[in-house]
Amino acid sequence: MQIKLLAVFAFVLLGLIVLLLRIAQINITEGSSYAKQVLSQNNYDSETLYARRGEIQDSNGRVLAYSEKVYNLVIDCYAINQDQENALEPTINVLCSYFGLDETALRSLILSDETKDSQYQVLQVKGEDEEQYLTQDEKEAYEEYIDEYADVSSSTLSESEKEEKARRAAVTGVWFEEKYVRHYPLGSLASNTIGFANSLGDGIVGLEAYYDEQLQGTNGRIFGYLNEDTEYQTKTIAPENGYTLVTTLDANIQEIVENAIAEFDETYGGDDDGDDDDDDGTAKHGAANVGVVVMDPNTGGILAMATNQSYDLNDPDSVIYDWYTEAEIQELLEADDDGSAYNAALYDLWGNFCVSDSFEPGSTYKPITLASALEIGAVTTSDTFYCDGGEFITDTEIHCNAYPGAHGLETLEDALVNSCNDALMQIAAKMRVSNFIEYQSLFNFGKKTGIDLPNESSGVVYTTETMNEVELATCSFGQGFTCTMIQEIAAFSAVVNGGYYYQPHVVDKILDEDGAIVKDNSQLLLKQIISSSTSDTLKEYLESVVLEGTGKKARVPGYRVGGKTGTAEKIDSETGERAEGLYLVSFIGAAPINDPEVVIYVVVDEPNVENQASNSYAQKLFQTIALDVFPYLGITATEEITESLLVELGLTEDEVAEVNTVTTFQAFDSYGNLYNDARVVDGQVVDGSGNVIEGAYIDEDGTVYDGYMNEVSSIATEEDEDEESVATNPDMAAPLDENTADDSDSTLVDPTDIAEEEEEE
Amino acid sequence: MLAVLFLCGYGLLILYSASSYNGQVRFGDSAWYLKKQFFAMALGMAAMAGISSVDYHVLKKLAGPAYVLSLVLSLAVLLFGDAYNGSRRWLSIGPLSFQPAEYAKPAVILLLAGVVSGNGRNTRSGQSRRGMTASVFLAVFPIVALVGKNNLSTAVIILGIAMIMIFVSNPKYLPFLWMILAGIGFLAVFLSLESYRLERLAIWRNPELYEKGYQTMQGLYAIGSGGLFGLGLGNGLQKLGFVPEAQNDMIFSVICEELGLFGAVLLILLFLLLLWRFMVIATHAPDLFGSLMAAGIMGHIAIQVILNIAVVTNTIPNTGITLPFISYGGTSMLFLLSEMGLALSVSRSRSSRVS
Repeated sequence: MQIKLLAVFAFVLLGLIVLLLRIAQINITEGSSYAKQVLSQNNYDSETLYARRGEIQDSNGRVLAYSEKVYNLVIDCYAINQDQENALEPTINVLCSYFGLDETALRSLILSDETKDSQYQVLQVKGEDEEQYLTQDEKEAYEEYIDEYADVSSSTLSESEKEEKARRAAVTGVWFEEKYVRHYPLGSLASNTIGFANSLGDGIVGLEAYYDEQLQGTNGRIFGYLNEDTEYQTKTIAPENGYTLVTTLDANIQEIVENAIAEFDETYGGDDDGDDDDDDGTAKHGAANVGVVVMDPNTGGILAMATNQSYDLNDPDSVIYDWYTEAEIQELLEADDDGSAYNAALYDLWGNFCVSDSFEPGSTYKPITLASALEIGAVTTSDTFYCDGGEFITDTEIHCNAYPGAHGLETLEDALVNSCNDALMQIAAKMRVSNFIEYQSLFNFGKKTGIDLPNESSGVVYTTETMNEVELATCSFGQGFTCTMIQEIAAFSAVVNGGYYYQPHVVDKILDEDGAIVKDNSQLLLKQIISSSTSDTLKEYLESVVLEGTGKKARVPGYRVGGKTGTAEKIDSETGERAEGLYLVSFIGAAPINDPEVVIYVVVDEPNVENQASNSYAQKLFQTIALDVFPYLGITATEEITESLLVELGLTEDEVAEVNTVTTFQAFDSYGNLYNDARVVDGQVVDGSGNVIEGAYIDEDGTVYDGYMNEVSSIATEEDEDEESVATNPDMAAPLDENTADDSDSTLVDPTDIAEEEEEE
Repeated sequence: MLAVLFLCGYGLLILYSASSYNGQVRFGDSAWYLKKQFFAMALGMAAMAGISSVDYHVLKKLAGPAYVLSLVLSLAVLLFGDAYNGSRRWLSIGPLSFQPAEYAKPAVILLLAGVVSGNGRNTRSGQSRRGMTASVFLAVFPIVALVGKNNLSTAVIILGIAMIMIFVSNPKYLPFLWMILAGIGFLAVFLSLESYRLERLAIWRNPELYEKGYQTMQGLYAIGSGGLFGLGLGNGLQKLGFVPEAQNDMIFSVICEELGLFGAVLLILLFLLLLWRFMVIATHAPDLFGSLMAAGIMGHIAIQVILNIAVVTNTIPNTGITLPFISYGGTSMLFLLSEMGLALSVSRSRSSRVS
């Protein structure tokens, strides 16, 4: 019996070995052809339904990027040849007459040995230079054409129509393959921020890359399978379209900024050889890099972000001709076999200077040093400093910017107004290394801000271990460490907005296909770094910088601007030494400085000029942008514009905004909420955002009452309706004369007055 | 018996990979098949543990009733069974459905072991031996007929099991040669009786020419594209609706595609190890009943494994036979594990006697 069992086992063993050999044989003899078969039928039997890539919109709902559904016209040669007798002629005939295709080419495509069994041949339906696809309308028009007579009974048709009906009905093996193409309707606008997706729908740079997953959606699939009775069944899984990004960008502001940069490029760009061929690569631009970031300091939302390396998103490769000469491009192409040098150059141009490049910020960092020092009490507003043109730190002499001159005795405010390095070094020394580093870190220097853009750089800062007295001294005025534009503007915003650090971001909301919010970025307050009183002090100082200090060229007539200049000598990346004559100049400013609504940061890296150290390029660019952006944002122009100021700044009256004479006052609504920025618009009392203040009203005499019946203001009633209504403070000695409106400084009611009035009631 | 656990784990893994697509498509849950299989496996493990702790001699008395029950169930399924995938093979009891044909296999093993060992004393006289063989076939015939009515392949397996058991218990060889020849002759007649059976034969010869050869061809494509190490677990393309019933009969093709020749060899080695263990158990069983039972179980698994792989590789014509422990099928899993329990019980009684 044991033998028999063994015999059975041996038999089984033999059987299994035979089967294994059989598997091996299948693999060896048919493996590659079967593997090919698997891949080919994968296309045939189950069809991918592509998800539509989500839109990118600006904050006003303007579309910055969208995907359009289009179709490839595909013919199935195999199907046509299966029924060659009936199908071939009508199919060729209809396709050629409808799409104007070349008959011989189409015929040979269907019949040639190479392609006659192919089930997938994309037809070239358009001219050579155009994209080879049909829009949805074109596809539907074709289908209507084919079906024109399909539902019409033959008896009602004439002979020729009957023939036509038969001809169109016999068309075989023609189908449409759905796909999406990406469009960027605004071309190069905000290109460095938005980025682009390639033809496969993969985000390559910018928001398109950062939010690739959310934008992509999930492809669906139609597939066929056979059940046990070998009946063919199909099942569809619908695609899930990608999410829509609603950004904080404002296409109008972005346009203002880009126009200003383009103007700058035009003014300072161009090669110096005089032949005007403008084909000298970098030389035709106004600077190696120009970066501008416009941010809402109260949310961290980026309103605009631009560099001088913008490019057409619909044709991203073309940017190379903007920065390289033909010869240089040739050189790149020949540099290696796989084109990696060329690609690296392209990726470099597609990059975003504002988040990916770090540099020494220079004096724009001084407000941050000052705010930190005030916050920890290392200095007070009444401290004074003596500038003798430089400091000896251990055995290194570090010059002030006034060297060989000196600033002499200075208050804390003077230190910032004069941008005095000597004073800043003394302040930093009082702070000590640990505090300096702690606050640098609190302001997020040396760390990524986490902005929703790819390739963010963190910059390089000293640590408590690596920072000694010399490093502390140079860092105090923004040299020796590096940061990105986005780090600087986020930190500066915190200095002027009351001390609140918001995470900078570009995407405000992510919406699904039905418009429901998937992700909301509106609440990105991370921390309060300095107190509001420190912030108030700094705002006062920063306004002085612009009014009487180093930032005078950045004044924007009509507006209260606070800001800081920066001029940093660059370091030669090869030698590590200061590079003589190469500068990065910058200006960062906020307006209105008493309650900032916008911060603009301008960086000009190596301007294409003789004297790069002049900060005026940055200030001028800031001013040009601000002159358009401030009125667009509805920031109230409160300051007097004098003829002499315009002359000094070289501006004409047309270039500056009209001073808005709307005056604000304080008012309570009927629930007891106090509004500091109440005003009268169209006969209604509204707050700063235009919302009606409940309970407040204006009587026939033009006297304005708030929700508690306090007399808070009055309006002049006699002027013509088109004029802006002017509200005045009843507590002022005389009603404001319309003709002296340029005297309309802040007419805020003292809050204590209101409190007194309340007590009286 | 580690081999069993390993096989079950291997099976679950492959099953999940093979069935996730179909599960996703048909039930919206990629783990749908996995969950059901896992439930059946848990039940089977419990049954295995229970049965293995019982002295298998108790079962000898139950062989007759169990067999009668299988007859009743098979009859019932003919009358009130649920049709699924076009075959009336399922009996529903509440939320559970159940395939009596699977139950019939262990029932037959039990019965035959009982009958043969009952006559064991007389096997030396030729008369009774022939009588026994006849009685065995008489005993098996009703269930074969009932099951074979709508599930030919299971009927073939039952016949095969019966044959192996008799072969093992009988010292002669020659009659079995005749039997095999007779079987082939019978098959030929059987096939020619109905044209669709001949058609299957034609499909087997040239699967690519027939629409119904689709399943076979897709299976071959899967095997062919696997290569030595396969495309990697979960990376197979053929299960995505191309190989019909990838989680059932054709699961071996998924193994070949995803794990390649290597995976197939590993699986076959596992089965061989298992069969070797059965053989050892059968040889060392304390009595003929236990020995025959182990031999029957061995035969059962061996036949199914060989036939399944042969079908998938198109070595024999297509017929629906599942791969033990791997293919999806709750009833099959439950009773296979029960059979393992039987074998364990036999093995245990041997060791307990030795100790």
